[in-house]
Amino acid sequence: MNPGLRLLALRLARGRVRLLARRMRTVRGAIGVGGTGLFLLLVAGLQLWSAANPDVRAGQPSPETLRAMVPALVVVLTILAAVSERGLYFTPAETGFLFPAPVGRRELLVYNLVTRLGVQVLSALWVAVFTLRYAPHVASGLAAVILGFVFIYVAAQALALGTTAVEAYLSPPVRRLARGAAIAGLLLVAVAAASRAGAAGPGGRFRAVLEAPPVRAVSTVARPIAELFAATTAGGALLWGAASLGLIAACVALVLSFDVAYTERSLAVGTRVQARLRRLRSALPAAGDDAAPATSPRFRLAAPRRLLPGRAGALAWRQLTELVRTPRAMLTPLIVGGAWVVAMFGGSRAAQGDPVALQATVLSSGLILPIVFGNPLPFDFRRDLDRIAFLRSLPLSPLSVAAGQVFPAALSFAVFEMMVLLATAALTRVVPPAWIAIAALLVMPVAWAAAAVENLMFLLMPYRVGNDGRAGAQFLGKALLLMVLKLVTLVVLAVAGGAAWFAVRWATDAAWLAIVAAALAMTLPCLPLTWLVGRAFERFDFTHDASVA
Amino acid sequence: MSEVQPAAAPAIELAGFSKHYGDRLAVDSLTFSVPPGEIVGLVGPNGAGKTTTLRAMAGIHAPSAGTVRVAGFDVVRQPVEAKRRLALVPDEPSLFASLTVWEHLEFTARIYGLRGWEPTAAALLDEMELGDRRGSLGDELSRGMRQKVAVACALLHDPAVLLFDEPLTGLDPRGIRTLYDAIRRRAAAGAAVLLSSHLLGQIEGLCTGFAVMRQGKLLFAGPRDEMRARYADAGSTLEEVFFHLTEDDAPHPAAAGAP
Repeated sequence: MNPGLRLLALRLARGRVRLLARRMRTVRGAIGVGGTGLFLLLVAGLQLWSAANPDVRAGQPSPETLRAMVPALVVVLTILAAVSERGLYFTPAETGFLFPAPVGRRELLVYNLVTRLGVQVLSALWVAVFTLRYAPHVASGLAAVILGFVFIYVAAQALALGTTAVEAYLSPPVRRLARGAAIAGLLLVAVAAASRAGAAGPGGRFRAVLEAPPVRAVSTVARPIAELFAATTAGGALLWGAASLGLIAACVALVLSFDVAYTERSLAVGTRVQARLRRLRSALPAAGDDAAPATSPRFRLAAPRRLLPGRAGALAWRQLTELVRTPRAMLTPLIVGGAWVVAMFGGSRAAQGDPVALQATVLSSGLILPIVFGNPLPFDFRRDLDRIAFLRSLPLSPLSVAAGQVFPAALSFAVFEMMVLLATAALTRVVPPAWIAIAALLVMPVAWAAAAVENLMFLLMPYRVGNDGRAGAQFLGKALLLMVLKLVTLVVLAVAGGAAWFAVRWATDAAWLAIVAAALAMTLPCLPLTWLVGRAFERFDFTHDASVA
Repeated sequence: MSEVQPAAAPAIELAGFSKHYGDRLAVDSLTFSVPPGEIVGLVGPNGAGKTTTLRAMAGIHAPSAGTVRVAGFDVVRQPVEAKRRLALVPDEPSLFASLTVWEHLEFTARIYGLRGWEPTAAALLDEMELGDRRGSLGDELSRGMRQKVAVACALLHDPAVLLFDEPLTGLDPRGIRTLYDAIRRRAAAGAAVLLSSHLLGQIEGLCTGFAVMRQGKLLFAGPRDEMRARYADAGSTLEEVFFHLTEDDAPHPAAAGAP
């Protein structure tokens, strides 16, 4: 490799440690990094604890099952990686400095593969925490997961570059036709396999897809990794480990052999990744972005102005109008909600009318959903990170701005939760109408509190995603902190609501009055929470926190 | 072929260069050359194909048709040889966030295989008024400073061909003057400079020649004085000539004297 590339790879590795150390010097950074460490330890500890449980170990799949499932999974992930990225990703700095530099194509490709290995290994270690329990031996299982991740990355690049090489010989219409045919073929295989699985549930259908003959035929290529994972002897592990390394080496050779205009494709990939990072950072739709508003005047909806009076209402109206004009942004919550309903209720005991299971699932919809998922529609301060200065210039009190900004998020999340509940009711046909009415009363304070805590945390510890997306690790720490805070807030709300309910029931014996009192009691804590959001907005240092690294 | 100044062998040479993005033709059969020592402004409205042309010269975009030669080397057939002799300063100066200014220069020197680069690097930092920021990380610099670091890195290996994509964006007046001085010095030493910019008034006095593009076609390529003489009716400033050439009722490229 070019000595400059070698030096750059080393300096970048050292630089990451340097940045982490610099971040640790601030309170917010230390909380973020410490929270991440705590989160990782917590999850890893739970996994190791459950893996040590003899009951869990007794139920693990046989080596034969692993040999069938692992290669298919690896191949499916490889195809997904190749399709989602469609080329090698270089950061803007790498593009700017390395593409015009006198560096050979192969040197640059090797640099890309080597510098991304660290991320693959770290990802593999994290996944290993969850998967090692299924391996007969820890060492061979760990090696298989690490080599599997490296293989997925390298093979995905080979696949993407190979596709680029083939497409160079095709005219644009033929290219589109070929892509359509490939996607249709994949869908056909998946649908045919899933339908053959009958009423096996989502897990059974997924397994049927992985075991479909075409998928198994293609996945033979990843067999060494599966054999390594399922190896029961040291000799077998060594043999299949060597075979796995050979497989990765063959993929690297394939990547280096494709003489294609990868720089152009990388620029396109880079643009896409940067748009995704910008969205992650401030949820602002970029030009040509997936979340860009629909422009057709026929579908240009607007939030009702009269329902949102006052100047704070104008802020809320603006956010809600942008929300309804961004249909693609609403796809995520719909998919998340749909997946939740299917996972929790589809074919479960709750669907059969088991009252305990029903109560548990409805409770989890109401409580876990706001904690775990948060509001996936960031039409609040998160969307306005680059407009904080503008918001500060408005003739509004911080509390009014906070209320105007939090309301759309709370409303959209309340609607989202009610949709989940109504879908549940429709699916199971056993949710009493009274439950839906009670939920409709309580959902807004819960959603408001969740949105307020999310915005409060965002203003105190804004996401700072650099051009290379290096802030990703901190999200875990912040996410953990956010989950804990939301949990505490929702417990406070539940205690307040429960106390009011008991008090009114004890005094009057009127159930509906007790519910209304509970809703009011749960609404009251939202006021100080919103005030806190306003204070955080007032103290937000946009000269520092809104700058892009 | 149209040359800005036909006296010397061209440092940059495009012959029938075309570039397609899928069905879209971004650059259509571009032919012009820049000899050593010249500073040529590549101007045109948004979407004219300027950045694509500069990237093709830097070997980032492969031509769909035609050839691009830098210092006599074909950027497709001999990319490493060509790139050894050129430097591209992109429109958005992206630095490595975790590397210091000095480390940027260090790895650039290693990539170009330079020896004894430290005094040159120190002089460049002084020239760019960054002498006191050599220990700063990439993400601790303002946009203008990042631009200057990118320029310093580009000048470190003393390239024969300098390509600037919108180099003035983000620079303060003093920074612009510093960059102009640096460009003039390199041109006087024999480097060919091609720079794209929308700030026509700013580059008019700097450039010795111009290449005007619109919708991927070359409308004019030649020395500044020739352009002024040819379009004297349109006005005396580059801006007036630019609008004359690039507006809807502008003369057809062939009629405008382009190749």
